[in-house]
Amino acid sequence: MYIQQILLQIFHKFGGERSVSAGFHLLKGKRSGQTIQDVGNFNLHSFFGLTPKLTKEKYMEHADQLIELGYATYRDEQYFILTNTGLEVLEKSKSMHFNGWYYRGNEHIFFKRLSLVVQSLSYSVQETKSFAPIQKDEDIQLWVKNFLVKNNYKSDTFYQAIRVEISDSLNRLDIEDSSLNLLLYRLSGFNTPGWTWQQLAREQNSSLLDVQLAYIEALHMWLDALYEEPKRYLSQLAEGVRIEQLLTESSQKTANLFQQGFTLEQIATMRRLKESTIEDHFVEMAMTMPQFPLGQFVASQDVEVIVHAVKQENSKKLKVLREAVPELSYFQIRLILAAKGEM
Amino acid sequence: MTNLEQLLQQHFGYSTFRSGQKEVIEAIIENHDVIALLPTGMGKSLCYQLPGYILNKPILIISPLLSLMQDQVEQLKRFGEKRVVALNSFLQMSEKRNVLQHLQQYRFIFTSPEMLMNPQVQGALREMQLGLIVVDEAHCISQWGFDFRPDYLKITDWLDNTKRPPILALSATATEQVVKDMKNYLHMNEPFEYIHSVDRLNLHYDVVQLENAAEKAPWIVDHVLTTCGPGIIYTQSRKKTGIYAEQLLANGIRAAAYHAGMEAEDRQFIQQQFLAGQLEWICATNAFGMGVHKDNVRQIIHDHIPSTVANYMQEVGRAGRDGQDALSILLYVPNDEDMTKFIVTEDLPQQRHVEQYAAYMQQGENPAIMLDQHQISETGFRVLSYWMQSLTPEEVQQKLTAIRFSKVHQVDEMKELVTAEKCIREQLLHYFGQSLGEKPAHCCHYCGIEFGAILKWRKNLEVQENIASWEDRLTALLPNL
Ligand SMILES: Nc1ncnc2c1ncn2[C@@H]1O[C@H](COP(=O)(O)OP(=O)(O)OP(=O)(O)O)[C@@H](O)[C@H]1O
Ligand SMILES: [Mg+2]
Ligand SMILES: [Zn+2]
Repeated sequence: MYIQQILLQIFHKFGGERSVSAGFHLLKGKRSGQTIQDVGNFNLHSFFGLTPKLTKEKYMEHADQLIELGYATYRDEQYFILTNTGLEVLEKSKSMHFNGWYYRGNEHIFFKRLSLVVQSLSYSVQETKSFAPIQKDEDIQLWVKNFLVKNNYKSDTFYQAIRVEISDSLNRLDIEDSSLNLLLYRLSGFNTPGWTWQQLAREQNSSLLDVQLAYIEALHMWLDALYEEPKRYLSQLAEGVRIEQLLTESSQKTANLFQQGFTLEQIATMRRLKESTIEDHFVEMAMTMPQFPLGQFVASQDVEVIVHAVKQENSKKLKVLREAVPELSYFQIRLILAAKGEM
Repeated sequence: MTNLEQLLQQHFGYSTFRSGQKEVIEAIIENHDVIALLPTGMGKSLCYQLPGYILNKPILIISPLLSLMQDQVEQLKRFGEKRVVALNSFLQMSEKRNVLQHLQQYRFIFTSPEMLMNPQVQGALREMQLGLIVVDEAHCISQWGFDFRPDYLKITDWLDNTKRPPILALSATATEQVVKDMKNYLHMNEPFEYIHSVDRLNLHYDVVQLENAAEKAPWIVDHVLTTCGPGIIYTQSRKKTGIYAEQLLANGIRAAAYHAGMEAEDRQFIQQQFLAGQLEWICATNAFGMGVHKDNVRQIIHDHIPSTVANYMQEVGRAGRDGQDALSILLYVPNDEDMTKFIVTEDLPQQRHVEQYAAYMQQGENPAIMLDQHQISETGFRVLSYWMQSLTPEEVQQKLTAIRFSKVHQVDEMKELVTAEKCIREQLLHYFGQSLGEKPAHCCHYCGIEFGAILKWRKNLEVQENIASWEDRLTALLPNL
């Protein structure tokens, strides 16, 4: 039960401090300051944007199911906290390896390319020149055409190399066979049609959403591995799929100015934006840039103080922390929370 | 003149023409407008594909469905043709400009009625010399033009009628009224008409009367378990496609659902599995049909009254394309037609919509607000704004009443076909203004029909394919050299 486990994990990390719908925005990959901050504060990078098409109704159905099963209870009507049973279930469940923050749906681009490459090779090895391409997106078609031509796709060497590369790299993944089946059965080729989600869910005795999530997890793991390995054919297919630019556009502009040596106030004036907006950008930077100079804004002992306060109060609520450490500003507290992520 | 048979062999690898093809092509070469009515699967496409290699000027094909267009483009590419393009909304802006500048270089240009309304496209087409204009599935002019896709009524408006190339209108199912509409709206000039009998002697039409709706699903399961497919079950709702498929699967039948709400890839997988024989039954809405070329479909089951006799013909026409016997069964429960009537009139604009629209216009506001506020469906709005542009609100009311009446009437015609104590084949032919020649044995439920004479009884269930290991699957896709 992927969706159940994901929701348990999210609500566990929220620790009853964010509303139920914050989890929905997270899974949808909403690009708002609040959701991005949630990602950082509660260390939820892996789940960001996993299910862009999920409806609120479906989401609520799954969330309510946690209550029915006694895994969670409502607090103040819009917050979820896990029960002891819920915690036990979470502890016993196998670990998940999503990486939503870095792929954000782009994993599908990788797979579309792969599926058209495999289909092309599958037909060409049978000496069948023409076929109806399974991918209709013309950008994908063009990309794959270039890729095939560039790599001299009619040569046996290329064919064998990519075959072996697929098989070897999948073999190296620490993942269940049922997940690899999903990847292979979404591909199609000569006399070998793919299977629909419905058919796969039925075969694996699972739900539509769960097989789709298992498939996405497998793609994320595969892509993560491809980015680690020396570059070969599959890493070409993964080109541009991983998001390197993690900041929103506006924050990136602020970051550039900051790197040129301008202060927060100067940047606000130059960009004709409110200081509070620029502060949001800085929080985003603190969260995403490992080299962010936190020390320019807070003393290192203040960081310790906040880390301690979070433990003491068992909360990441700004208001609570501000009361506990009145000498720090809200902005400073937010920076520390963002830079430290999970504590 | 080059021998037509030679060209046929050279470009398509066929040795003989099927009936009608040669007559139609000759008329086109002699510069006549042509209306060709050939039954489903007879090879209408060839009637414009071959002239592409004779006329030396591009051929413009107007097609009602994106998927159909894609299908035709791919078919031509399979025959080795490179100079073919589809002008559709998917073309990127920059690409579009490029394609439009070089239109003259293509042999086949496919497009949709909506695309033809684009001034840029019209401009490009007006400046070039076309060899032939083809309207595929031309019955859509009547069937949809009035209330569904008004752009169909305007597809030849941009043409200069004094120096245009010939027009070819193609359809499988057109009544005399529809043929009249084609001539009118396409401004055809004394067209040569090739009208093939719509009768397909190898199709047999059965009607099964049931007491109530709850008996349908068990009847279908029982029937499918005792007879052989491949077959298609047509139903009206997406949900029901899933219900039927699940029941068949639970009984060990290789079945799947198909409807327009599924992902494009999933829909292709289902089509391919069906073609490859891995699926025996498809449970589908009417989204499954046009463009599906499986030769050996043996059965079609309708669990409802289709919206028109023409639609029924189209759907039944999916069966027996290989010329072998095939069976069509329609399950009927009294008053089934009411549901169909509801569905066909559901999206039509109501009186209050007309009033609202008029009010917005009077206040100088954009009536599209109605759409934003979800007061009307998109289809409804498109129809409404088309008529409101040329008629007064009162006239639009009358028009809409007439359309509603005609749609309901068409459902009644279909119901009559099913319930009248008359030969179905004879009624079908009569509907299309033709008369019956010979009658095959086991013609229809009125003349008497015996499944055993048409179908094979099922001896055993075919084994459902299990999932292979991922390594084996990879080898199936990409065999080791
Ligand atoms: N002269 C011929 N000899 C052999 N095969 C032919 C000939 N003409 C057409 N065909 C084949 O018949 C099949 C059906 O052709 P086509 O798609 O043109 O039918 P259609 O009449 O347009 O059917 P629909 O009503 O479903 O659109 C195609 O596979 C085509 O290649
Ligand atoms: Mg056709
Ligand atoms: Zn009869």
